[in-house]
Amino acid sequence: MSKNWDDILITALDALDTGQSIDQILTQCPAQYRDELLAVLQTAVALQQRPLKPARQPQAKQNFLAAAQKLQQAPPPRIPKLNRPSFSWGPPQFWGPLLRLAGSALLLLLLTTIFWQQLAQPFLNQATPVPEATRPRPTTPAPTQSILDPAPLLTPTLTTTPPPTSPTSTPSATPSPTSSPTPLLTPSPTPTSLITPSPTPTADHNDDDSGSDDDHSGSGSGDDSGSDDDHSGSDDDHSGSDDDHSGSGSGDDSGSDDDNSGSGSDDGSDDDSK
Amino acid sequence: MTNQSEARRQEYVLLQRAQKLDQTALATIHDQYYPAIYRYFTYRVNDLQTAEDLTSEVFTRFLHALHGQNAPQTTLRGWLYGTASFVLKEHYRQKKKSKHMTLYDDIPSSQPPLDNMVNQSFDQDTLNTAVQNLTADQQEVIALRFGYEMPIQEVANLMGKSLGSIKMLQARALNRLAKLLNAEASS
Repeated sequence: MSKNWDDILITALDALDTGQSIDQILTQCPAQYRDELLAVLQTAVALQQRPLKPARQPQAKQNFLAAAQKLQQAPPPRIPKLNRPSFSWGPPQFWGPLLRLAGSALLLLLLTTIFWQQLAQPFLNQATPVPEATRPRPTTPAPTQSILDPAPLLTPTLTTTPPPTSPTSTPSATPSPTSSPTPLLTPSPTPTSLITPSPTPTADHNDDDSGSDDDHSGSGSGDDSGSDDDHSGSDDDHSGSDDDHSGSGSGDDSGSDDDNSGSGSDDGSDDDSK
Repeated sequence: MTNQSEARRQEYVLLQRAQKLDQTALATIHDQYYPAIYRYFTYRVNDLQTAEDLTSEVFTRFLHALHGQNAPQTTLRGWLYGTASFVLKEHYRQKKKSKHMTLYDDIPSSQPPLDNMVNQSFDQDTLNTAVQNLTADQQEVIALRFGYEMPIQEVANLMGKSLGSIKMLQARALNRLAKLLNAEASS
């Protein structure tokens, strides 16, 4: 019903546009819509023939033409020159590019500084603790140490870095060269306490073991390899070295005790027996 | 088709002359378009005085555009409609801002007789009340079709809608207006 009425309306208004009279249009319309259609068409015609004349048009026209005459006599509007040189200190072909270059350099410097201070620096400060979390923790962590201050943690890794060929070397040595050097090189008392745990010294002695195992062929500890040479000379030296390595492992010494059953004088005989 | 292209050519020639601020061309343009723009405004604003003020504002801007760099290049009718639409939006914006207006009693009137104005104003009020009940698109279609006397295809182009939707908008707007005006007349 509604769609049908819309179609009838549109068709009727099209017909009105083409110049058909209202009566002609109504004859083509279904009877039940005629009254409504008549009202709509009469409204459209009333709007088209609306006697609406601007009352002040003559006066407005006079004002319009007078204003046009004034504009005609007036000079054309000035267009501001955009590329006029602002300096007269020298040839503009010299100063212009130079100033532009200096300005660009200053801007670049400023941007770089801002970038470094605002973006890169916090990023680096946040990036350094990441490898620290992956490495094995020392047995005695400092309780007051904050995450944002990684310098004391990283300092020992630089100062006591073992050679990279060591198989049991800690992974903390690898990220330390990438970190900023300034805080890492400052000596502090805390690193020594961090070195003392057992994993670090064993790494050093195992390096020596690789060579000493060849010499002793069966002795468990490499501690004795160096000390054996000393043992051959004097027992006094040996007693001192035993004190140093007392914590390094009794198992190691038990193996070496077999070898060293003859005290220091057995060095030569052990080597010969092997 | 030939009539349309001929009309466009004449409009183009008129525009070229107007750009040189030729008085005859400007007078022709004023005679030709002032009533249409005025009628367009009468469908969109409440009183006839404002409609006439806004029409004069459109022609003032047209003059400044001719003198400056924004002169219409090809079509005069479309440019004037665009400016009228812009001026109307500005008017509504200002009306929103300032709700109070000072009335001056000592200005001599140059208006037509009062009875004509009252009759016109009464019709205008009735029509405006009815038009206010239409949707914004319907109002614009009615103003362009019956005020600006624009062909329906041109209305579709200006409003960026299809011909079918403009016809539908016009049909429903007229249907609604007829009902509202009949109800007003019977009451």
